[in-house]
Amino acid sequence: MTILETTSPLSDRRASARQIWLLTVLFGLVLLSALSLRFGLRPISWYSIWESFVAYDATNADHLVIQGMRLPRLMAAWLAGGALAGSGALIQSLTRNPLADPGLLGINGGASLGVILCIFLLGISDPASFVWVAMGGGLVSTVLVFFLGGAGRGTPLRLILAGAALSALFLALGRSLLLISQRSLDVYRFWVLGGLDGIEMPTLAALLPFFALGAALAAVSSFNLNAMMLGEDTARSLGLRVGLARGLAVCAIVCLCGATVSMAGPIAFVGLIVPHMARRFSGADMRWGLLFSTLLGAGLMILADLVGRLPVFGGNMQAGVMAALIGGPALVWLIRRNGGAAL
Amino acid sequence: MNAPARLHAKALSVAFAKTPILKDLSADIPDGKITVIVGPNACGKSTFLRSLARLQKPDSGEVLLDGKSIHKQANRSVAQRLAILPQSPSAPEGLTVRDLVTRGRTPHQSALRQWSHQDAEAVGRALELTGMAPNANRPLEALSGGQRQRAWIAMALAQDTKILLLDEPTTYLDLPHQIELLSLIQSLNQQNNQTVAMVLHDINLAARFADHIIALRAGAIFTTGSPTEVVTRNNMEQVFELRCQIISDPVHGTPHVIPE
Ligand SMILES: Nc1ncnc2c1ncn2[C@@H]1O[C@H](COP(=O)(O)OP(=O)(O)OP(=O)(O)O)[C@@H](O)[C@H]1O
Ligand SMILES: [Mg+2]
Repeated sequence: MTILETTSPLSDRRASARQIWLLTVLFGLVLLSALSLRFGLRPISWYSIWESFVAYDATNADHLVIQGMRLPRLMAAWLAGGALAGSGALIQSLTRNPLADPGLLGINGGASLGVILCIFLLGISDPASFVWVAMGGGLVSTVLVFFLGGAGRGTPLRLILAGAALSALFLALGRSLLLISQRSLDVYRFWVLGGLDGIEMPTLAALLPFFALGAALAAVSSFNLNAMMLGEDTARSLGLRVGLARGLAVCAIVCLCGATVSMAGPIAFVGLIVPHMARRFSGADMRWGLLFSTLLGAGLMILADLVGRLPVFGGNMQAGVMAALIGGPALVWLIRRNGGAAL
Repeated sequence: MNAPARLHAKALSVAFAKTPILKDLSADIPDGKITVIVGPNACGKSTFLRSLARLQKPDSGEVLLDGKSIHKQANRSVAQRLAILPQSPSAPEGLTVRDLVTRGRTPHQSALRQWSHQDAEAVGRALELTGMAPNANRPLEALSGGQRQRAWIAMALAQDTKILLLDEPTTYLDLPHQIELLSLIQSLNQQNNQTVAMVLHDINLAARFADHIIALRAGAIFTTGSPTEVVTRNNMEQVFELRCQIISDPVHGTPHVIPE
């Protein structure tokens, strides 16, 4: 039987195309990262960038800008874009709903309410201390959504409805607090539009364990979701513990999005559209879907941040907004080119 | 009966919204045999098969696999011994036949150990046996109903289990393909000594391919036995409310139902 020569399921033409796309995307990411270090308000030469890595000099202003501002910013873009798009891929597959967004689990709503409560009740106005409040708020609301949605036993639809209801409730609560307190609004505005400005290494380092844990859980979940996408019965008969698998995927999303929202505020859209772009390259295999989503999400965020820094946009356009401005038309182009097959 | 069968239902009762569907049902699925479950629509065949495959939790009673309650065993270890093809499975858009069949290897893999030579062999064999190898790289939605059905069966075959449960595997298939598929199942049973239990609607095909028939009526076992014992004029009238003549199939010698 010639068929036995097959050594892996990837040995078809589509699979080698996938590998070529992977290399292309990786190359693009490296290029974008380099450009993102190079360009900004202050022109810095390639040589200085190189030097700041191999022979850092704390008295050199160029080195300070690169290592103290642009590098953390670049890393934040990587993490935020990758985390949002990766968890978008997970939630779309988990709920079998192509319009699901990771914010649907109530993470953004919970995080926002947490931050508002913290400003309103405790009078805190230092953005750095919002990190843990936002994380906590997101966590609490996701746990609520997960259990209201029937925990491991609920249907995807129930999970989505629970998430939509709680998100709306939390946002409304937050807004009514903002309406009665001008002072809170002034502080909150900074957080909610925060984007990637002013993120520093210590914040990144503190959040890194969450991103790492989230990435590991996401990798395991992508394997589980490959079976889950065939429906609950089939997944169970393939030996999956469906409730546990669902719980793991939700944990992955909470870690990734909780860390992102606490670092960069709520960023919409990336988690919704990037997985659709990724599907063009990955096919129906979630492991590849997750990988491509993560890489493309990171790429989109870096690009958005870079473009947002151009003088045309006043030199400071929020990366999340820019990502939607770039990503929207890109998705439309993809859909049109494929006659709608992408969705 | 001598040694107990590996798969055994013990006093199963299942109710949906207080309506009893299976009532105190006990049955053996004999090892190494082809068992066919027959009965009129909505009599509980699928519910019975799903209970045997631990997809339906019984309200009382239990299913024993290798002597232990199936619900108390690790799901993965059950999946290495027992595969089921549910009645109407669904797949996401864009999934190719090979993708689907590869998923059948899930119980033999883990997030860390993902692809081995055995996996490749099992997938290749399943594609070949079901005649789906030429369509391996086509997405499921681009196939005919019958081809899709065979792709799902290939997935269950790739799971490579000793016990195989199939819910109406021949729906959507034309007669030649029905025969071909049932012959394939028969040869798997004979060559690998696989135990098969399946729901079939065509009583004549059931009589021809089954070693053992379980006839259900209104959620209870009406009768069980060999085709000649079960497919009788009297039983057909009581189970299906079908008046008929039974003749002997001139080719295979099995009972053949001619409705009146
Ligand atoms: N999940 C469910 N919820 C409520 N009722 C159900 C459910 N599953 C099955 N039933 C009911 O149980 C009865 C038996 O269903 P089952 O699917 O077992 O029948 P069946 O013998 O396989 O029928 P068919 O030949 O049409 O496939 C039907 O009346 C059906 O309405
Ligand atoms: Mg049925």
